[in-house]
Amino acid sequence: MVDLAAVDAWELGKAFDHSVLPKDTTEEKIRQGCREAKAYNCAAFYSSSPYWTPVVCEELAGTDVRPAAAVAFPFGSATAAMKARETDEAVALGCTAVDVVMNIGALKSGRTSDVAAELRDFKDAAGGALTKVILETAFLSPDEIATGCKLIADAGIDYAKTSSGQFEGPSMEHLLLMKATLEGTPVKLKVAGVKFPRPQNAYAFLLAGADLIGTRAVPEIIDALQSMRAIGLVPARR
Amino acid sequence: MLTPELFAKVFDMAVLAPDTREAAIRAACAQAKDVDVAALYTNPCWTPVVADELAGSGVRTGVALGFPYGTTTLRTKLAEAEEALAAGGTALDMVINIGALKDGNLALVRDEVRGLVELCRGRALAKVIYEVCFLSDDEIRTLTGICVEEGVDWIKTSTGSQGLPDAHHLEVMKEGLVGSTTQLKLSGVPRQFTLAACLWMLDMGVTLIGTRSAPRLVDEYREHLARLTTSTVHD
Repeated sequence: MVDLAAVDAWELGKAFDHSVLPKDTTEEKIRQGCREAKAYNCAAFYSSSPYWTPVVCEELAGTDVRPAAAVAFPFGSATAAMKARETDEAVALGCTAVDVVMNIGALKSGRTSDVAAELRDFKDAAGGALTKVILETAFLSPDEIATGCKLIADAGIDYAKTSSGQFEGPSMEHLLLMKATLEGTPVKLKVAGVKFPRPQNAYAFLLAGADLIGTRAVPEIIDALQSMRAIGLVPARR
Repeated sequence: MLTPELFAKVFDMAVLAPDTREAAIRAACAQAKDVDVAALYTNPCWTPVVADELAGSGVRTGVALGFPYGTTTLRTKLAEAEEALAAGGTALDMVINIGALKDGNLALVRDEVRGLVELCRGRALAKVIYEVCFLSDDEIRTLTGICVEEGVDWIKTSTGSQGLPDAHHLEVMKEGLVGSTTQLKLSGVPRQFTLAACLWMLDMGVTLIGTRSAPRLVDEYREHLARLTTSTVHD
C-alpha cells in the first residue's frame, strides 16, 4: 500500500505501471510510452505481448523501469502450455515483470485444478520476474473473485490484478473483496483496466489499498497530484 | 439458389468470449452439428472439447490463434498453430500482427502467413484475420497480396472485438483475389446481422460468414425459401 502523505510526484511514479496496449500499436507509440514511463519514474512499462519487448528493453536500458509484457492478452484463453511458453519467451527477451490473464472460462466452469496448474506453470516459467495475474473481475461473481485470489496466493504469484482494460473495468467493491481475501498473504494488489482513466479513480484505488495502478494515463494522473491534494482527496505531504 | 443445407455451410459459428463456460462450448457444438455449419470456432483452451464433440460430424473444429490481438510473436503464433492442429483443429484463423503491418515490417507478416499455411497444408484450412477497421486501403491491398501469394484459404475481415467491417473493406479485399484460389470470409458482424445482409454479402462474393447467429439465419433462410415457393405457386 502506498503512503500518499509520504510521496512527491517523482516517488509516486513507482506506484504506476505504464502501458501501451492497443492491437494497432506501432513502434513509435511503444517508444513514446517508454519515454513517458522513464519521465514519470514508473515501476514498469508494458506492451501487449513479448513482440515489443526488444524495443522496450532498448528504450528502458540503464533505468530502473522494468521492461514488462502481457501474456495471453487480453482473453486469457490460450492453453496453459502456450501461456508458459510465451512467459518464457518474455523473460528470455528481457522482461522482469509478466502479467498473464487467468483462464476465466475455466474458473467459471469450476475447473479450478486447471487454473491452479496454469498458474504454477506460469510462475515456473517466469523465473525471477515479477508475476501478476489478471482476474478480469467484471466477468466474475464475488465467489469467483475470492476463488481466483486464493488460487493466485496458492501459486505464489506476486500480484493479483483486476482487469485487462478490454471490458468493464474494476469496481471499488472488486478491489475491496480482493484485498479482504488476500489479507495475511504476501500477494499485492494491482488495479488496472479502467476504461476511461481519470486521476480521481486512480487515487481512490490507491487510498483503498492498491499497491500498483496499471494505466495508459500515467502522465495525466501524476500531473494531477497537486489538484488532488488541493481538493482534499489525497492527504497533504508530511 | 442455395438449398438450406448448402446455405448452412456458408457459416462458421464462433464462441469466443473469454468468460465462456464449458457447458456453453458444448451447447454451441451441439448447435453447430444440428445446423451443420462449416465450422465452429473457439479459443485454443477449448479445442480438445470441441474436437471431441464434433468428431464424426461434418463440422470443422475451428481455432482462433493469437486472438483477438494478434500481437504475439511469430514463434508463439506458430507454436499455437501446431498445438491447435495436434489437439484436433481442422480450421485455423490467425490474427495478423497489425502493428508490424503498419510499421511496414512485411517480412514478419509474410513469415506469419507462410508459417500458418505450411503448417495447415493437407491438415486444416488456413485463414488470416485482418481487423480491417484499423487498416488503410493500401494496407489491405498489401496484406491481400501476401495472403494470395502464400496460398491462404480464406482472408477474413475482423475479430468482432473492435470496429465493424463494411462493404468497402470487402471490395478492396476482393480486388486482390482475382485469379487466385483465396476466398473471402466476412466476420466480426453484430448479433443483429440480418438475412438480407447475408444474401447481399453472398452476392458480393463472400463465401463464408463468421457469426454465432448462424442457427437463426439458417432458420430465416428456410422461411424465406418457403415464402418464395408459396408466392411462385400463387403466380
